[in-house]
Amino acid sequence: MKQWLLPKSSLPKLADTIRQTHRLYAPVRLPDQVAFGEIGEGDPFTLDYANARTSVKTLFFPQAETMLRYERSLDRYNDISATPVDSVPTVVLGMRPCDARGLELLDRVFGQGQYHDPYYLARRQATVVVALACAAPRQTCFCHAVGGDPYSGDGGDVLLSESDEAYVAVAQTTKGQEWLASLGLSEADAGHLATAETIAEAAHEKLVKMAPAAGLEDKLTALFESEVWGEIAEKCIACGTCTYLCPGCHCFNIQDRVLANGGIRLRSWDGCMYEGFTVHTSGHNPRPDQGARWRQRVLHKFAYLPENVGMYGCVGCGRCITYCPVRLDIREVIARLRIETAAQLQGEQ
Amino acid sequence: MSSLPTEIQQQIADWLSTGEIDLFIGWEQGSVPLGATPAFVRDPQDVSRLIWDATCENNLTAYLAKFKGQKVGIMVKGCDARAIIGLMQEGQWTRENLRIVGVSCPGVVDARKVASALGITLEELDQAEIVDDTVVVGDQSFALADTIHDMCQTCNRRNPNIEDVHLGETLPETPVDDPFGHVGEMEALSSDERWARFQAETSRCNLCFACRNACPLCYCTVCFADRTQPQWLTTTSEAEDVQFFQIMRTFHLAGRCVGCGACTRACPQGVNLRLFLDKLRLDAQEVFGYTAGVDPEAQPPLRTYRQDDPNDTFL
Repeated sequence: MKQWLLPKSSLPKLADTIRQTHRLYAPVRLPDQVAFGEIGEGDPFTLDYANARTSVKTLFFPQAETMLRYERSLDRYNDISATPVDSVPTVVLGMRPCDARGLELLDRVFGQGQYHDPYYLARRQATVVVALACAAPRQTCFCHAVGGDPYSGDGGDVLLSESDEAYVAVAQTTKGQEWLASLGLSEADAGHLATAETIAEAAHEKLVKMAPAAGLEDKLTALFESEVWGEIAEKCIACGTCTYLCPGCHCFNIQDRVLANGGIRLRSWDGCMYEGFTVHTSGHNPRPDQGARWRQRVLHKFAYLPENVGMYGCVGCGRCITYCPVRLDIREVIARLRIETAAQLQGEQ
Repeated sequence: MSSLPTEIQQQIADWLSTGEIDLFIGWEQGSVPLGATPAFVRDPQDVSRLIWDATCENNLTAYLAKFKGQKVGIMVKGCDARAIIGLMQEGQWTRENLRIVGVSCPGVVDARKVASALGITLEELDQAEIVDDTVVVGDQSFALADTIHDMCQTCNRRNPNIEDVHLGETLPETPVDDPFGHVGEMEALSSDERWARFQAETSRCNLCFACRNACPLCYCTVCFADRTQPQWLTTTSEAEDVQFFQIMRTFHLAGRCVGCGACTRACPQGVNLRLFLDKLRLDAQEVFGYTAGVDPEAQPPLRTYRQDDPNDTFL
C-alpha cells in the first residue's frame, strides 16, 4: 500500500481541489466547540483539534430526515411522490478513528442482514472518509479498550497520520486508493515515515490504562436480574445527551407528519434512555425505571451488538463522559459491572 | 475536593442510622475535571464519600421527585434551597420528610470558561483542580471568582433559606446591583429583534431535554413533550419543534422558576436558557410582586386570584 505525503501547508489547496468534484466537510473551530461543517470557498477549517462535540454520524444518519413524501389529491390518495436519498459525492476530511469505527458499526447495523437502510447507505457510498489518527489521545479516550486504536483505519477510506508539518496518507479501501491516486501527491520519504512512526509510538504511550472490555459480553447477561443496574442509573437524569453525541447510537422513530394535502414520513433519533422509548399503547412499560434502561444501554453496546454484528456498540470516544450533565462515566459503569460479575461468580462457587 | 467536616458527616450518618432518613443525596468526586457527581448514600459508612467544593454544580433537588413520600436527606446550595421551597409551595414535599444540610456557596466553577480561557474546548481540558481560591491547570492558574458560572456572579442568595444544619461559614449577602441585568439585553430589543434573538439562541438546541430533566420544578410524570395522544412535537432539531418546546417549557415555569440555573448548566449545547426564564421571573416580580422559592406559604401568582391583581398585562 503506497504511503503518500500530504503537507499541512497544502490543505487549503487540497480543499479547493476536493470542492471541484465533491461536497467537503471538515472540522471547524467555533467559539465553544469544534464541529464538522460544510466548507465553501475560503472557509477555514482545522485538523488540529481533539474531537468534535457532535459525532460525525450526523452527516450520514441525521437527527431527522424525510424518508418519503406523499400527496393526496382528488383521484389519487397518498401517492408517494418522492423518496429522497442523498447521494451527493462527498469527502469528510479529518474525522477521528473512533468516529470512523462508529461508521463501521452503522455499516453493519444498516447494511448487513435482511434489511438495508437506503438513506444511510446512499450517503455512505457517496462519501470518501479521510480519517485522522490521534497523535494525542485525551484523558477521556478509551478506544483501545473497546477494540479500537488511535491509529485504526476501520471505517475509513484513507488514514492520515501525523508527521513533520505533514500527514502520511495511506488508503484503507479501494475507494480510498483511487481517491489518493487522483490527488497528485508525492510519496512519503523515509524521514517523514520515521517521524510518523515516532509520533505513533508516543501516542500509544499516552493512552490511559484501562482493562479491555473483551470477554465482558459473555458475563453481562447473567446480571440481568441484578440490582446493580438501579444503583448505576440512580443519578442518570435521562436527558439523552450521551445517546445524541454517541457515534454508535442509532435507534430511531418513524412517524408521519400529516398535512391537509399530503405529508412526510419522518425518521428521527430516539433513545433508550428516554422513558417513552418502550412504552406500549396500553401504557405498560417493560423498562419501567432508569435501571432497566441503563441495563439496556450497556447490554446493547457490550453484549447484543458483539453477538449480532461482531463489534461493540461503544467506540471509546469519551463524548458521553465529557458532556453528561451529572458525569455518569461509562468506564466506571464497566468497572462496577466487572466487580459485580466477579462477585456473582464467587457467590455461585 | 474536600470531604465534609466531621460534625456534618456525623450528623448525616446519625440521620441514616436512626432511620430519620432512608437516603442522603449529596455530591462526590467525579471522573472529569471540575465536575462533582451526585451521590446517593444509604449506608452511614459511605458518608465519607461526600464532598463539598466549587465543582458541586448539580441541583440535587431535581432527584426529589423520584423519592416522593420517602424520608430523604439532601445537601443544598442557596439556589438549590429555593427549589425545595418551590416544591413545598406546590405541595410536592413536606418539611418533616426532609433533612437538609445547607451550604453557603460563593459560586460553582464553569469548566467551559476555564477551557475557553485556555483557548481549548472542553474535550481538550484533560486536567484541572481547585486549590484554595484558584483553578490550576498545569502551570496556569485563574482566580476562582473569574471562572464561576455567569449566574453565580449575579447571585443574591448565597446562603440557603431552608436547612437543618449548616456547613461552613455564612457568606455575606452582597446586594447585587442588577441581578436581572442580562435580561435587560432582551428588554431593550423590539419585538421582532427579540424573536430573532430567541431563534438564534435556541437554534443550538437539539431537544435532548437535559434542561427539563435537570429542573427541579419540571416534575410532571408525563411531560407535554412526551405525550403522543395528542402529539405536540416530534423530536427533530428543527426550529418548529425546538421553539415549541422551549416556549412551552419556559411558560410552564412562569411564576414557578426559582432561578437556580440548573437548566443552563446542564445544556450540552450551551444555550442561554436563563435569558428567557429570568425574563419571566422579572415579570413575576414586577407584575405580581412575587418571587418563587422564598416563602413556603406564599401563593404562586398563576394559581391564585386577588381582586387587586394588575390587569395591564392582559390583552
